Amino acid sequence: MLNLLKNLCSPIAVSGNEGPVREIIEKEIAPYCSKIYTDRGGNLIAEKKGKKPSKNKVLLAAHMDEVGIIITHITDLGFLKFSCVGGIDNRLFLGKTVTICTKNGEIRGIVGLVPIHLLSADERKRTCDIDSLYIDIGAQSKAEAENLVSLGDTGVLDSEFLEFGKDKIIARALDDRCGCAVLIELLKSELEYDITAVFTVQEEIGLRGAQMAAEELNPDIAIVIDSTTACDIHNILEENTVCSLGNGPVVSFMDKGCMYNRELFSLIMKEAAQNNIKAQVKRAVAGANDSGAINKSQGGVKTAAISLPCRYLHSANCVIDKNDLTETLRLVKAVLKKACEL
Amino acid sequence: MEILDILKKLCLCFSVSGDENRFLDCVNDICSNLKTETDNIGNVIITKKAENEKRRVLLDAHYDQIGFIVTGFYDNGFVKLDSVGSVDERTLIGARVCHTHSGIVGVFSSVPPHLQKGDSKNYPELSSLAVDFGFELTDIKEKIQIGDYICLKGDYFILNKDYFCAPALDNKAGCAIMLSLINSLNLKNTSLTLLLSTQEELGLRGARAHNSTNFYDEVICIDASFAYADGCPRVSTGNLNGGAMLGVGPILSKRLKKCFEDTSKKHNIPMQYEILSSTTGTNADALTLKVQTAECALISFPIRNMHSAIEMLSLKDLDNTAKLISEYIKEADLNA
Repeated sequence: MLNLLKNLCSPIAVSGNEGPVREIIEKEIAPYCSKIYTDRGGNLIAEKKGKKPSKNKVLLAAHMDEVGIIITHITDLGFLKFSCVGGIDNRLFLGKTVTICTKNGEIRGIVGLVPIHLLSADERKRTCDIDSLYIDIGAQSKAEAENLVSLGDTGVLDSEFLEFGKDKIIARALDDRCGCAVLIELLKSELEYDITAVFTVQEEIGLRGAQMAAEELNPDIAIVIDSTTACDIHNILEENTVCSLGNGPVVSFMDKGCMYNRELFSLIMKEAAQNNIKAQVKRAVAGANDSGAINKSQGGVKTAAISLPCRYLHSANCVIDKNDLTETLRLVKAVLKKACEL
Repeated sequence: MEILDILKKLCLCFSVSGDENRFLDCVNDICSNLKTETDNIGNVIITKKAENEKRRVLLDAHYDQIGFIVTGFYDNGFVKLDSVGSVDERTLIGARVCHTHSGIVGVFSSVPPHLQKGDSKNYPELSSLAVDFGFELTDIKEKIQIGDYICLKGDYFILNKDYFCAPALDNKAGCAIMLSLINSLNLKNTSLTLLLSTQEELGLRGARAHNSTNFYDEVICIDASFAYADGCPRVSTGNLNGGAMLGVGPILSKRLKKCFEDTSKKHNIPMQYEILSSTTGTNADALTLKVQTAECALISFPIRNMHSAIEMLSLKDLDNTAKLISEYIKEADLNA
């Protein structure tokens, strides 16, 4: 699954530009599915036959898009102004490198800064707002920059996929290529019941792909596989850590977008215990995922979320524990079978 | 070896002030047919004696770079750091770093936007940050010791064909210029000494410690200065692609200023000025006090984003700076 995850993290797919990831996923799952298609919104929908029909229509979802930037203006001196696509902390940009997808392929840039030697003590501390940030691509004029980049081009903060520390992975876009990897592995495996899977677009800008897909597919039950904020870092009290790396998949009872179905929540915890899978309950009402849209579609859908604990979410250096990845796959598989029988 | 090849080699060699031993090997590799010496503080000195020595010239560039030093550990295995030199704290969260001794990689931790509670108006101070190396406390303590050095991780790369980016171009580019000069110049009358000085980022300490019984006719300091970019003040910045920045100010030699102006004109090498109303903030400040009767020039090359992992210079400026110094030295040698 590691190689698969690495491949999935490689292409840049900022919300609205999910094509490159969709292609990889389609190729991976095609031999294992009875029907695959891309809907008008760009979601990749796959149907897989199990040994028998399911009692309920169960939909599994993971999003393909990632947070990033979009070029909004080119200055007279050839610097690029940009906005964020999805929620990114403005403080992550200064002094970092970016890659921008252009009509001529990927190009690199750097988020330039005024050296601290030329700043007042106050300016050295104050967060630069997004309007004052700019990307330097080495162009010396507006015309030169316009040859290289077009307005509306999207990009990301750079980050190399790396295995590091003890069983950890550091990379960009782990949110939610991890979920995609779990869902792909699930589709590749032998299943008891027929299921539908959707790899959604535009999650990061308001769960938009999931909304379209849920309206179209009208499931009875949905299981969303995403990554969630592990804040098990220094100087944070245990009660504020939300979840921890290495403690297994995270099960949500409520977040900012969804009140999760209690029956499914209990079922997941029971399955984890019975199958000896380490799982943790998300210890905060924070964040949201595709559940927020699916749950509210078509007269309501019973929804559950099983997430990968992930540090530094929405930064270029997300960190996960490999063991959580395999445990998540095990848990989703066990839960899926029971959900089909409900 | 071309300057750019030397620079690439130097960029791969971490040399945080006080953590320089691997730099000497790198210099020996670049100047394999010259003898290198070191002094007690860690300066690296290379001399190429002229057959018929009539004058001595000292070229100086510092080879240390800003970075971090390990001061402790948190219970969860994260590593606490302090800065070595003036680090730009605004660039730290979400930045990857490297343990210089073992090469293992970590990242400055951050709180994701989903969980922030209105605390994002300022950049966090280094004292509130820590590095996640992905290990628990007992494991990390086997790999990293208190007092070890940490560097911002950044590979070199080229933007738009002509612009070279890497951490610590301040002042590895200066070192690259000097090393390429000493390899290529064969002077009859001038003995050339390179002072690859240490701990400049901590207050010109290497230059201050340089043995002052040495006598030089001229000292030429080479360092990085500011290139204009969006948001920078126009005054106190030079232009990228404008060529070397010739320092002009009370502590610098007026005769040498004229010499470099003449060389620039004669050989059509672009050059710009850097006006320094008092001291220079470079090793020139220390060496003018140290080296008896020497006249001192300060030649800088403009870079963007100083003291970040994405310092950037123009390859044209790099070549033109080397050319200006080289042509001047050759001419002065002929006229000696």
